Amino acid sequence: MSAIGQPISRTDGSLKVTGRARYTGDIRVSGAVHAALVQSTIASGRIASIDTSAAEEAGVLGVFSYRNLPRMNPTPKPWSHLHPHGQGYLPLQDDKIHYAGQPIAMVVASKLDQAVQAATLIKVHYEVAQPVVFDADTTRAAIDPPQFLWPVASSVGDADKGIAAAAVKIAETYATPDRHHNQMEPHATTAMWDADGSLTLYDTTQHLYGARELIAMVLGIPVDKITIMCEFLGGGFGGKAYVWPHTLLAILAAKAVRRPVRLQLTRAQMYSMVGHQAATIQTIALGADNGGKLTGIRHESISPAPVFDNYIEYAALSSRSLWAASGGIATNHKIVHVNRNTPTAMRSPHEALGHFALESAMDELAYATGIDPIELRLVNDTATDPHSGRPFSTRAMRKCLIEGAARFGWESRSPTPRSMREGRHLISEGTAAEIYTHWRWPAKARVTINGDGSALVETGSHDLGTGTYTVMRQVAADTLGVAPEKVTVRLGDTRLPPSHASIGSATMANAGASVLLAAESARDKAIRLALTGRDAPFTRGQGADIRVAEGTLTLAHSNVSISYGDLLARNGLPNLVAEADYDPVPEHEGPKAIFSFSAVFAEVRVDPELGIVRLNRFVGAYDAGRIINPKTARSQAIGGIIWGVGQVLLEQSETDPTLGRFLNRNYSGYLVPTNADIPELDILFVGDFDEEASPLGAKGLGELTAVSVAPAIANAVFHATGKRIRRLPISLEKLM
Amino acid sequence: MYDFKYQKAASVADAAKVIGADGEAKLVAGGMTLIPTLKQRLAKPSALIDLGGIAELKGIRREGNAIVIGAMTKHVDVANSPEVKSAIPALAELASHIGDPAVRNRGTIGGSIANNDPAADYPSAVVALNATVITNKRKIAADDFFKALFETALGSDEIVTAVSFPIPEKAAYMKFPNPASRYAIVGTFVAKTGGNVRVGVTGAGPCVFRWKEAEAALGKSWNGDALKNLSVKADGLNSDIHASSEYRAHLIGVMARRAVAKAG
Repeated sequence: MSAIGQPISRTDGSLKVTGRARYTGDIRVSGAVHAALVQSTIASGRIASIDTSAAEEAGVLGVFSYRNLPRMNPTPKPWSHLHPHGQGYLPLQDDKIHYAGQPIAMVVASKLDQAVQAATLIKVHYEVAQPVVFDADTTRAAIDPPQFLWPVASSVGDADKGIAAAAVKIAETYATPDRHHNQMEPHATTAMWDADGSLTLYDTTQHLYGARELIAMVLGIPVDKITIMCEFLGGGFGGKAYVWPHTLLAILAAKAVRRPVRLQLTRAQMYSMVGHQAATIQTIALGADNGGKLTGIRHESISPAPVFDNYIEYAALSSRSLWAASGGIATNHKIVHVNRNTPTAMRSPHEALGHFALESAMDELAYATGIDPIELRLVNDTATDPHSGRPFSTRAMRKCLIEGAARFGWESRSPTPRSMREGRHLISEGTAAEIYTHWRWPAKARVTINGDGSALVETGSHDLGTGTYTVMRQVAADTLGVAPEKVTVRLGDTRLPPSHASIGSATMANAGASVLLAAESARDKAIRLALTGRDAPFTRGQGADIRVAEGTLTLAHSNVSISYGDLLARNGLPNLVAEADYDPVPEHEGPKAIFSFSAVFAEVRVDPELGIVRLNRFVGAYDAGRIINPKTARSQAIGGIIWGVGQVLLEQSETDPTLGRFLNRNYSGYLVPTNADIPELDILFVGDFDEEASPLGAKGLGELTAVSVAPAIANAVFHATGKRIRRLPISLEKLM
Repeated sequence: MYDFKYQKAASVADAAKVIGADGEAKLVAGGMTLIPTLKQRLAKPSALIDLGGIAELKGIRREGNAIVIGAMTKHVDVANSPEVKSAIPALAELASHIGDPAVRNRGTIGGSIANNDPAADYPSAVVALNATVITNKRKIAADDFFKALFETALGSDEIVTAVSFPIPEKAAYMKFPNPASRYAIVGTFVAKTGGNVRVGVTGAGPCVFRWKEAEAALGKSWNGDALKNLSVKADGLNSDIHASSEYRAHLIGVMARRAVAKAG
């Protein structure tokens, strides 16, 4: 039986529930000492004086500030997905303060308590400047940033003309707040130097090779002297893909004190020591004819970036390719430099922000034209990417909308707001569609067939908690023709064949493809050996008829067969090793436009007296190509929906407008959904094998599932209350 | 935390003597507020006088037409008490929703009211039920006990020993909890005792208060609809990232109406 397509449980499940999975912060290193940080209490200015004498006298191993930490090289610019990223402003290099919570000193001591205590003895005096925050005033001074991922602006046709001539127009402003990832696992690094100048790191990273390259550049260490390991990650969500200042500090501290140094961020430190999702203010203009057919889309977004980096939230990206617009589509992004640390990708970066605006606006258009929201989307569906003019490789949008609506029971919905009730609650239904970027990135893998019939998969990919160990096992098992239990998967170590960052929902399609190709290569080597090796059981010319199953090579229509084990023994080989280098052309250079799609449906109930919105049920229909493991895929979808519920109803990082610092730096101030907030979630996969996306036929899934939860629920809230909330989150008071 | 002395008091008199002599010493009951305060270095007492070993402060008993609860009685014991459940079920229910299980198994009624946190649950019941706070020196009427934010009528060497709650004809508590801490963003306790209606509101302002307009309206007609046209002004109410003062003002009305409906 094929392993691919089976709902196989995670191979690492028992390790995780019994506490045996090795997470970075849990790994004990003999002789390791501890670092504690001192962070700036102001958001802008400079350090006028810093007195570290009391800390130095507290029996510690080292006290560091900008006065004595070695200088670093600048981070590389610009960033891209395939190259290393890191915050541009490096820690403890000068007396400047650019953001609240900026690290300004570090104490290293044998015990963590000792380091934390000594850090409190450091006295800092500041010259305080007024911080710049992201607000209505500063957004007026927004600037055009340089490109870092996609082109900043786009224009196809003449969007404004198309909108101006339209029978029906929508023009609104939408806003999304700053948010933080709040992974369960805090960021942690343990750094160890060997006598020969080689560096070993246990680091919470979803980009092993990017981290290695950036650390090599910034600290001037040869790449081949650096080993980074991350066997399990307790949640990444994009927040562990860049190299953040604490990792660099731990490395330099370990060198200075000549001991392994462990540095784990506290929950509160995770609000300024690592990235977050920047707020956006988006304006959308839609024009449509009376039948709902779009004649133009203009989508613009402004987001804050730090004074030292040009990070862009590409919120308007989604409008480039989701719907056709006969007149044209124009998008643009601007930034405002503020006193903040560098934002980063947060599930689902760009798309989940832009879709809130675009798919809310589409719902407004549905009401303005009187056309059912599903029908409106069907009318604007397109087989060609409006942005690039290329046909989509696969686009099951229609299937997502129709099959999802059928499962949800959309047809019984009464379209009038406030028309459905259950006791004191208003009941309502909303929908939204979504499109998500597909990435094609290079990856390498190695597959070994052992003499006992087992197999080993090695690739420098990552398990963020998503099931990478499990799905890679399935891919190798099917390709080699062995039972899944026979396959061991190794990930998370730079000594393995290099892979790409585990971001952008790219791992299954790309790292998975490298495993597929390596396994094919290993299997083909075995077949060649069975044709040409010692006492070969098969003869030349029979290669095409040889099948492998249950660890045995068999000639079709015959009873001639040999197991991998016997084949290796017969040839005196301990194993067969094959490597693969999956090196696809980047998506934008290919002949087809590749994206994932979905349509999602939410039923909510609103307590009109209190403004409480509760999710009653949710249906998601997803086109993510071929599904390798329906169980881990469903888990991804559940996680994505919950993530979206947080985005739309709860999450908001509050900033003090005067002091410029994040205020709610813990789980009691920053709310995320709990089990009680989440009802039964119904997941459908409607996609087919997409050969352009990956040799595995898979497209990106994880991020896709968090893209349009917010507009679906916001649209349902409008249906319930008649109130259109255009500023997230939909907190209680906004419905009063 | 800073260094401090720790002493387990043998009796109320013993505890009163120590805090009378040392103005920097503090009493600790369940410690559910005090210990986190110490951990955050927001207080620096010279000594902690633990009331946990004083048997006379514990227990629940019926005295005539009242339920008397010893100051060191834990929330969980109030919640589970057959006497409280049969005489004042609203009070048992209030206790069953304070904080989380850890807080309910450590925190005490005396500690809660002596601390007078603006978002604590018990003060609303003390006020609405017109309870009497009994100390080592005197008896204090509910209306005179809660003074201001974290301020009570207790003197420097005065210790709450028990609270006596008259048994009402009807009572109910409704709170809108903080989603993380379960403290009351707004909690409204309504009670009808001997024909008198009292409404205690916690969480909304700096200190528990009575909503007298609602009391008058409910006195005329014990029905949630009697409150429909009443509203509380937002001026002076608490405002934070969880709820604005306007939303809290609105909640007072909703919670009061729902409490009346619940009381039946």
